[in-house]
Amino acid sequence: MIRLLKFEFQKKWKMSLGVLLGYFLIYFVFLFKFKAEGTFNIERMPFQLVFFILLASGLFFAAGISAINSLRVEAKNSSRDLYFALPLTAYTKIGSKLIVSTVEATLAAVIGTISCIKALEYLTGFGVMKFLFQGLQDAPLDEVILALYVQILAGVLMLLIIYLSFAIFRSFFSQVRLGGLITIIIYIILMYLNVRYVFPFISIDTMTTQSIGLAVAGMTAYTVIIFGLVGYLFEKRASFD
Amino acid sequence: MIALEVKNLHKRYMFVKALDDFNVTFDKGKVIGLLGPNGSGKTTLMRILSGLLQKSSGEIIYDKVLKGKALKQKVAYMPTESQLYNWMTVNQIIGFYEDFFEGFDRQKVLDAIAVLDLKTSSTIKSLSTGQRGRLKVALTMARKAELYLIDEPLNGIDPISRDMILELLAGEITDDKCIVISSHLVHEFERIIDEVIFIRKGKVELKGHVETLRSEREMSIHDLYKEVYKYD
Repeated sequence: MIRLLKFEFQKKWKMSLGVLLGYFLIYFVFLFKFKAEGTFNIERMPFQLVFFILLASGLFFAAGISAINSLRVEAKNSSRDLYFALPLTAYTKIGSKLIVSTVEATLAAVIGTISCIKALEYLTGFGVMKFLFQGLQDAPLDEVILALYVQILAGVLMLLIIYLSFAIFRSFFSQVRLGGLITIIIYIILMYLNVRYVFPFISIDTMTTQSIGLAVAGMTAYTVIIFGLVGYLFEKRASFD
Repeated sequence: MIALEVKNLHKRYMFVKALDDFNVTFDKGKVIGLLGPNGSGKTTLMRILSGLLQKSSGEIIYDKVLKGKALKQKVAYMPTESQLYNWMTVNQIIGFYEDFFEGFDRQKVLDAIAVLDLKTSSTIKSLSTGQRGRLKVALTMARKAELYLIDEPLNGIDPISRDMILELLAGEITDDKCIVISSHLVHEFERIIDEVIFIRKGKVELKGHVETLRSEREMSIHDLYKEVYKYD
């Protein structure tokens, strides 16, 4: 696992660094531009704020694309004959991709959020970060940890559903052309089934305070099941024609 | 000693039978030529044996039961198209093989590429087709495996690199391993193979020892190939 994690980081660090540099270049150019236009221009403030939120969302979106491509490109390019012939289980391979993707997306979310807040502070002079930290200090620690856990788990589950659509394609439709289109159709069907039959039972939004624990346990178990299914299909059923 | 036995192997794509009741045995200590024109089923067989493709039915029996990780450790497959990561340097790809394949012999690769006049800091992308071809053969043969499946190693390779690859492959055979080389470039391989298997439309058309076939048919394997496939 450690060797695979090393490989995943080795593969991604240049691209990730490039995206991050690009992000901060745009960020600082516009930050100074907005500042030069007038700090207290309250009419333009919503636009400026939306700009930084969209920029941060772009960073998070890039991390999401990188997470999806991590497996999509691996299964599509000719190097798959090396990667999928490595003497490691598919569970280890998928697991390493999930870990790296989770770290990447978490870092993107943290960097995006902090840079957004800092931009707002710089433009308005208002201590948003201090205000937020005060709010966090007042909140119970277990609720904060649970909220973070659910956020990360939801991200992992969404990524696993995408990975499951790749696994189903490779297992049952690998000989068919228009692989991209078929994978999208599989994904839409999977999402429909999940939204209709699974998410209502594991979503904490629809739960009472008493049943939140149950929903989180259900969501964890469901994520583990989907992980097992993706691993099983890549291990036993997938074909790389 | 048998390295691998294939019994009643079938592989069906949507409208095509790629392998049809395919039966064969590969013995250790031999270089086996898997010959046939394009589309005869050579690559399909190799990909199934290496675990990259699922069979439709049939049995694949190694000298012991091998599945998953163990299978992938014992079988070293080299595809026609480069399997190497283009973004890696030569040094990184050697390190990658060393990290993941138990018993990988780094020195063997370094010796094999020593005459290529390439820097280990060069990226795979920057290598010529011949250099890449030799590197991938060297990397595959430096693995500690029992069955080596080498798919079309000379495709698109210049004559000098071809000779180097053939020398590399011929020098590798020992009693504990079997090397299967697929190709339709029979003339090039004839001098290094011990046994030959001719495949036609997913079936074994003819199988035998190279020397026996040569003396029985009174022709070279190259001529025999033309004889076997002349109506295809």
